[in-house]
Amino acid sequence: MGSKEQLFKYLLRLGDNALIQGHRLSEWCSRGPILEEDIALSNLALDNIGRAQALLQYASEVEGNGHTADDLAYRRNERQYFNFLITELPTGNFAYTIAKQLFIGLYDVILFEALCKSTDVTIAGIAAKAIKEAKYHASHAGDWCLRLGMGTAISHDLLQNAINEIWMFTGEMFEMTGWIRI
Amino acid sequence: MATDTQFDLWEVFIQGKSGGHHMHAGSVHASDKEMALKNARDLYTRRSEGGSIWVVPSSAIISSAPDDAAMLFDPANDKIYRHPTFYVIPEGAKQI
Repeated sequence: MGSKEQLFKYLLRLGDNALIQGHRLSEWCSRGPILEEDIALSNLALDNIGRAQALLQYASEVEGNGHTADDLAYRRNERQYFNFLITELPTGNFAYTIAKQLFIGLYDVILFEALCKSTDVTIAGIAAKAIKEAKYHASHAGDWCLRLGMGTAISHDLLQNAINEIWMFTGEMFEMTGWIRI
Repeated sequence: MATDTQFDLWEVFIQGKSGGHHMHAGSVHASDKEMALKNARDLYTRRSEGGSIWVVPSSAIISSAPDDAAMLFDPANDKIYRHPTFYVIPEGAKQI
């Protein structure tokens, strides 16, 4: 596999994570616990869709066979997506979404801080924007984890159960398997 | 009055640019100050409206009573000398 192919697959992986996470978050639109949180979650969704757009746009340029970012986003079949499984887990209840947001947000902060130093200037540019968003996403999720965890017995249990269920999906973030899912 | 089930109310003030005043932008519901700040950010600064946010519990704001309006504000009506436009700007004054 050539380096161009590797770069393309890596961009798909980054882009798909943002795309799928964004769409999962958008499922909260009009269903948030309160109006303000509904808008907050939709904002987070839009951050992800914007990031996906930038990454898949670059992926389409690297691929260089006339596909657009939209083609890559919406015209592949399900086996051609390379996102982490954690991003496609069902939206679930609010605590479940917050637990996902915490894991993904904290990972994204580490990832995009590193990618800001990428020798690929396009990736570094996207990362410079994404790191600001990721910090906000992690902060938003962190605040809510404290609220739910130290709230009522019910909110504590909902969050703890979510973390117990989702924890196993974080291992995939640190696999060094290239683009191939095994 | 129906019970508000949407957390406490906070007033939001946004500073448009550095050095400017924080202007009242609206209100948000939130259960604590961190949530109020984030909700204010998400509701009122999504289109680059500002660079600084204040949030204040609505309950901390004291407002004047409408019945006192005449006592408080009418005496200002005939004091035109309190307006800068009452005065003639001297020739050559660069700034007033």
